[in-house]
Amino acid sequence: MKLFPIKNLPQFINNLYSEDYFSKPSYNFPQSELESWKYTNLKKIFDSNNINSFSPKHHENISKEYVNLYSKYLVDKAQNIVLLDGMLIYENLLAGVKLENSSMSVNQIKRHVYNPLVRINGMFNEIFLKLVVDANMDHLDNPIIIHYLHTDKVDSTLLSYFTKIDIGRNSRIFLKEKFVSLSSKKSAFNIKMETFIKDNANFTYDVLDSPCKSIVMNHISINLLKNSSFNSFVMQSSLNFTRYEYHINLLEKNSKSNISGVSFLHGSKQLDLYVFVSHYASHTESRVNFRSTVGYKSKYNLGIKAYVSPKIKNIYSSLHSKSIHLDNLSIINIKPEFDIHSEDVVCNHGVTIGSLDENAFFYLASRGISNKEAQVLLVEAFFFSIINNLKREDAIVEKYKVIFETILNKEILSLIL
Amino acid sequence: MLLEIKDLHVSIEGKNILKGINLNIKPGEIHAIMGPNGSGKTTLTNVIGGKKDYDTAGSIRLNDQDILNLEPSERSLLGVFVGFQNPIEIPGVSNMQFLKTALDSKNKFLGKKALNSSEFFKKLQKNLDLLEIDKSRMSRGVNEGFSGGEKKRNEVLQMIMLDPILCILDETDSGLDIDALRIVSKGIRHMKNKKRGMLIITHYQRLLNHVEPDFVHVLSDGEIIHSGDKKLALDLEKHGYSLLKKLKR
Repeated sequence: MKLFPIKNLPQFINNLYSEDYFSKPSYNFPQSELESWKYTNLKKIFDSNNINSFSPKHHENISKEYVNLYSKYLVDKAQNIVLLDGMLIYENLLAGVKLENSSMSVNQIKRHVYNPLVRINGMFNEIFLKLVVDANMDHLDNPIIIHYLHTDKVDSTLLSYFTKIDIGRNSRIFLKEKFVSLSSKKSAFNIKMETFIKDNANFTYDVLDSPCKSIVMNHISINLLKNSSFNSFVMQSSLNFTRYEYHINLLEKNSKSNISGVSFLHGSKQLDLYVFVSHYASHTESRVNFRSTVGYKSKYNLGIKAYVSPKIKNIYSSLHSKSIHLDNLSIINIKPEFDIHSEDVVCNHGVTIGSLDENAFFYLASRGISNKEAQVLLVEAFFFSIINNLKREDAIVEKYKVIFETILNKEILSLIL
Repeated sequence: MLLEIKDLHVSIEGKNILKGINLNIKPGEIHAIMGPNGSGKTTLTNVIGGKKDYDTAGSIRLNDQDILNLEPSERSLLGVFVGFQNPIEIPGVSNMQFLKTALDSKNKFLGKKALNSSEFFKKLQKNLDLLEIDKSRMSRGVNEGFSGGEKKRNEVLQMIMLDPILCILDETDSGLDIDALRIVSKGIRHMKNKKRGMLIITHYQRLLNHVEPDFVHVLSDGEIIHSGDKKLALDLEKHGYSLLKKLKR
């Protein structure tokens, strides 16, 4: 079908056609072909990591010995949940926090799961956890830690988990997730989480770097009711492929969300990070802030989008990201987007991709600090500006800094030079 | 000879900035370089410090060792200190961490034992007191949120802590009020000894009232066009750089 020239259209538009303007994709309007980075080919990732099975080979004969073996890693003053190859093998929760564990049928998933996207994804999830926190529980000082352990019994296998969390009114909960592989071979963790945070409740959710080479895909759906808040921090470096997808729904007034993260990717790592925040109510606030360094054949995809629905007021949203390209062999794709349908809105975004500051480098070197040390100091400074501003207890912030410093010093430093 | 600069030519993107600088500094000597804006003073400082933006020819020798091809950190470890005209801010790297790392590098290079925390804090506090710097500034990022005067005092603090053999101060007096000038001068005088050389780059006589130079050089359009004693600085202050025209003749 011949589209141009079209009668009654201004001449200059028809001229564009004659100049072959629309035939060049780079001049065209946004289209999926131009943003192919948003659509990671998971099959390719699975194939390259030898993931070829989608359910655990062995549900039975899971030995309690693993619990004893792993028990030394169970953190004091924490509420621990341990899932071994998809089976719940240990739980230690304080009063007011209850856990259900089962397998769900498709019909059950339909009944339990609110978010249609999570519901569709949940169809493939075999392992179901339901965590219910009663009202008026303050467990910020006693984080719940979910340990996902994979042994050699699930080598080359993708295990799908679905966690539903209901947090009662006025409760404050801190959840951490840890991914551990007890095998030298790879497996994949596919996590779907749906959370409802009721009035005046607070949910803090952190995922620190896991020292294994597996694949982690984490789809997090958060629904916030009146005066509730969600804080999340992601630290990523070691995993081969990681995909975090946050869907934040600020459903009622005075709800707030704050998501930040740091990632140091090197040596054929890939991190896909997507955050979609939807403001559905007045007086709501969202903040997103990530920092990353990417090098040595690694790839970093970051999509951050805030939606503001019509007829709401007093909205604040900020989307920020800074990245450092360590070499020309790595790829960074970042796109901040706003979709705003109200007027009383304060939104800001800032995305930068650059290299280490040459002037800062020279300044440090001029004081006798070697290239290696200067790089570590500058990279640390780049990341610590995020970690220092986390709304966590000082001891936790210091612990996170030590963890990240260890990553930089032990694993990455040799690759920088 | 502590510092020996021979026929130093420096250009950037094809433009000649320094056109054959010759300068010798012996241990214990204080030299001052004065000159109008754009004469090449900061370029000279940066090149001695090892900044890589320039094309260079000629030689710079420190204690008879050619340093022109050394990395900035190597020059510093050998004893070169450059106090910058506009010290940059490095948020996230605390002053304390920065000073300790720099001092540890220096001690390691000299084959000395690293200072333990107590020794380091004692040394730091002594110099903070000398330069009247609030201790709380040390937990901030390097020069982060510092006023112009505080940045210059921080440069002098780093100089004293690192104990170099050659101090190059690029317009350390610019932007200082009377009190800050007095404190910075006190710090510079504190560094004066028979083994250490100093090169003070300035527009004005006022710093030289506090730190008396043995030699004054006039840099104009990339060349040292005249050298003399401290009286030359007084003449320049009195007559301005219009005196250069006479000197050139």
